[in-house]
Amino acid sequence: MIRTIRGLAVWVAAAWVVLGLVRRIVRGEVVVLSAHGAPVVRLLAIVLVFLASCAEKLRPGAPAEQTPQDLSQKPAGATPGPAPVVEVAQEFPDDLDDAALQRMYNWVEARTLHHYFASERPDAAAGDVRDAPAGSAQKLPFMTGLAGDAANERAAVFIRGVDEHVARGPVHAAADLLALLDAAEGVPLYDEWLAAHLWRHARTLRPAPVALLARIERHLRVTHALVLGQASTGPVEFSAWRSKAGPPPGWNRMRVPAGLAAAAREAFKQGADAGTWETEAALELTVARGEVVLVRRAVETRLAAGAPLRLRRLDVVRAPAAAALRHPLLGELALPAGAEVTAWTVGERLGAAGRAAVQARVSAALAGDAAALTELEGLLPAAHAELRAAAGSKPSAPGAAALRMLLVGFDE
Amino acid sequence: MGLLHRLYARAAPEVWETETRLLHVLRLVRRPVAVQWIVTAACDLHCPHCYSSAGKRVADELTTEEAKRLIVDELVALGKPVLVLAGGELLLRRDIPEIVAYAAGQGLDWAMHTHGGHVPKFRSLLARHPPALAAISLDGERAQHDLFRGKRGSFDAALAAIRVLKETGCREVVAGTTVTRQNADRVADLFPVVAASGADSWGLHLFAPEGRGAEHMALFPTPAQLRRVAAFARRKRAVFHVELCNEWGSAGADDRYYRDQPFLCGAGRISCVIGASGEVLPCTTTDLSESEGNLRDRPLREIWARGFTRFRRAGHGECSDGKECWLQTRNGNACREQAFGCSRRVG
Repeated sequence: MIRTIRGLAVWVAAAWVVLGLVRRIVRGEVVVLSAHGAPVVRLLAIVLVFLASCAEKLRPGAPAEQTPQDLSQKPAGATPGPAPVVEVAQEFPDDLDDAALQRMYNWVEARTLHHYFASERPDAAAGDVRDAPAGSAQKLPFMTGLAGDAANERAAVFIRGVDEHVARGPVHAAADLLALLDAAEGVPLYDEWLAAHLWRHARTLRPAPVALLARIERHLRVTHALVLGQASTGPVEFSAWRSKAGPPPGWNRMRVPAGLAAAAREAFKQGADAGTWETEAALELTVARGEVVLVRRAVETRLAAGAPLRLRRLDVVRAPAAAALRHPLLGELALPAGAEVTAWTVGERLGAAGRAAVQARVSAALAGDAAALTELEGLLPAAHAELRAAAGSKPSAPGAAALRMLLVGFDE
Repeated sequence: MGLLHRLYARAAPEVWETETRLLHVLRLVRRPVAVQWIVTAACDLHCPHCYSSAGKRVADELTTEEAKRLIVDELVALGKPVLVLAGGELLLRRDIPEIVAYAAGQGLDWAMHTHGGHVPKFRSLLARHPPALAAISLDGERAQHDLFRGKRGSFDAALAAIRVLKETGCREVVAGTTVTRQNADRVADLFPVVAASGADSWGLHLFAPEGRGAEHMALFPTPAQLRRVAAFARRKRAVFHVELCNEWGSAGADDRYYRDQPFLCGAGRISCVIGASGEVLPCTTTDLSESEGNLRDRPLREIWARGFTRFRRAGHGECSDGKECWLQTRNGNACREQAFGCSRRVG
């Protein structure tokens, strides 16, 4: 009996809502949605979008869903080589759960790690990368509230690493840089700026530190996966709504949304790449003569003549025997037997014509030529040294600020 | 809420448009999230990109009592959206302390957009009723900012304002830079200034040819500049809270690299602008043909409920399609295509 009455009441209520709605529509009345009604309408919209996407997929002739890019795919013309050079794990870190992430974001506040390496200056063509001589690791927020548990012990190891790193000055062995990265990831701390910083410090190392570059790439893939994760869970940091709505009173600036670690892990598994380190500031080349070996993520791939080669900032190209690369604008880059090329050094391999082409564009861009500036965007690995020299020698020239902006695209 | 957010995040623009149309069919409207009031047209600067053509006070600006009755009381009835005070220069209005105190007393959160020059004079007001958000204009380094603003010392005043606002407890201070052809190539030089200013975040607005800006169309950045600034902002998000504001339009799935939340045009849907003389507009334009009515003639509640139908019924095509900024769309600037269309792979 009670069930019947309850069922009847539900039907009456539903009819009442529908009738009210029809009445409002007929009369043209408009009502401001209540706070309780808003989630219901949103849920309804989500269901409708979901159904529409299902219908779209079932439609005959609908395009197949694009699968994530397979980053392990070899470039055309490649033949397998003796891979990997060294074993470098490319998995998502096991210890990165939501609690660890919350600790990480609390400790480094919002993107402030770089403050503690204050005056790094990758400014000269010769490549002098300096940190503030007074290592300010003492001020790291990590220091506050260290209580001696395991996580804080690991933080203390990282702080000591930062102190030693800063005290060491501009020259670092690959092992030292790797140790600092180990210490950071041990905290765990994943920070895009730190990865870029270590990459900049590795610029003068010969041979190129393949294992370090692979580790930096994995670090960057994790930071990128965290960005992708936040797209589905919501941001860690408060976002001022369209420069209009501020945070509510008492808002904790760093709040890891539930499930962020899992979402980032999933994004990583789906093939999250190193972000701009994958997509930008690369040099599009072709193997012109001979055979070269591309070392990417510590894995070697042999590329024969005719094969396209995209030199990213985290790649190393080696020539076991004499070979040559070609760029459509810069001409041929000769590689003697045993030569090694990275994004830092590829400009040194330019021929006279290539060098002149770069210098002409840099001079024009320095004078404010917009077309030359746009061309240089695609030549950053080959042109960064000239850009640095030009912006350094004439810092107030009409186009100097734009050159400095381009350099951010290479250095960060 | 968490599950709803995650479901929503998968296709935010589509859900937003569907929800907008659904609400229209059901004769429902969202409550506004923020209502911006151009408190005065008076301004002591003369910036070429000013969307409100600010300069002299207009004769029929809303009075103190009208502001309380026609705006604050109405916002309370509309569910207490954020009251955003802008201008002109809002702090040139003498009754601002009274209006802010009244709004705070009614439980409204308030925000302000200012050039910063008069902020120190209002320290006690800001300490008593700290805004939830304050946006301070910072359009370049000292020389460029002062030149652009037409007044020497305005750069230092802006930095001083940021400090005062943080000291008095403003929860979110945003340094706002309007990207124009003149400063687009200089944002890398401005970055360290902003990062050291004490601001919580950096909002990169995009020049819109509205108001006085319409007289300076040449200020619109080139496509290459747009692309470079967008790429720069993406990189700097690793070290500072940089956000591309709405005028840039949507970067589609890549929005996550440029802003914390996907682009959504809120004009007439969750926000609106009240002009100095009470006209209710969808967004920051001085074009009165866009007005949905005047507060002196009809209450804001009614204008909000019955107006802005073209923003609510159509979505695609008519005013903003969930991808473009409405302001830029009406001016024919396809910023989104220019800034993000070919930025994914340079090299």
